[in-house]
Amino acid sequence: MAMGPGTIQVVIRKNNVASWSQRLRARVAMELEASAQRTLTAASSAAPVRTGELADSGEVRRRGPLSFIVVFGVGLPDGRAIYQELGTSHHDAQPYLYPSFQMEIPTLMQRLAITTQGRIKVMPGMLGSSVGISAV
Amino acid sequence: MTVNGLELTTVDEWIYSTLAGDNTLVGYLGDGGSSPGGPGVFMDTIRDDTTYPYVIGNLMISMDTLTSSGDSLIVVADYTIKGVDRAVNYDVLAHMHQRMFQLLHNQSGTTADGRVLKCLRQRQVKYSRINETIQYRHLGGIYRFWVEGL
Repeated sequence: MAMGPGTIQVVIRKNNVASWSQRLRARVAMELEASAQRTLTAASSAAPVRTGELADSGEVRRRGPLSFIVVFGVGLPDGRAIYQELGTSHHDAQPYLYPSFQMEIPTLMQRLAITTQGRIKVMPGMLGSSVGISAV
Repeated sequence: MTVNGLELTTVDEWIYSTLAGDNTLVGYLGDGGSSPGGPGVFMDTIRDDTTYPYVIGNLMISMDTLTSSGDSLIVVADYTIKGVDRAVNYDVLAHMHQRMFQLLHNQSGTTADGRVLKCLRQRQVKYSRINETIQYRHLGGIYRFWVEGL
């Protein structure tokens, strides 16, 4: 899961789609990317502001046909993206990314249900999601 | 099922009583858990005189689960619960992490104000930080709680 020093990420992906048509896959990919963008926007707004660098350090990356990453801490010289999210021994946690993703899940599920026209029942557990913490 | 507004304090109390009440876990904590003020298990914020390693829990997000009529039924809350050590390795934290999983995952319980219907670990967290040559390590998990008021 490591992305580089001091980064934190959530992964939004969809698996087990071998039987899907190309058109359906493309639609789902659009929904996943849009979901990742909404998560990025929400997390940027929720990120604690001191210099503003943390809020600006997020980005969406595509890592597969149906897999997107929202990552924070890109280009920062330290691990503040992780430290703010989960806390340190000297500072309390101020989570911004994980809550933003959790708030996004119902919208994503609804959008995927519409996109697949109800043919695919999407349950929360089917949405690959994780909080990846890189070594610092 | 009801919601009485005390669901999050119910979770806090259940986490604290479950972890601080376990002799095995407390035995790993700084001063063997005998430091002034009680075992080194904290919710939200640690004391200034806290000794390492310690356990801390923080609310990450909570959501009310609603009926179609809008009445709240239960609260779902995600907490980060982790051990923190000032050490060059994860040796002690690994034991604490394993014990916390045994105590929390797939468990339930009741406090004076509410009932934890279920606790399940969602994922694990592990990271370190170096501050002026001193290494701090964090190891734990994000746990999800389903809770209702009494």
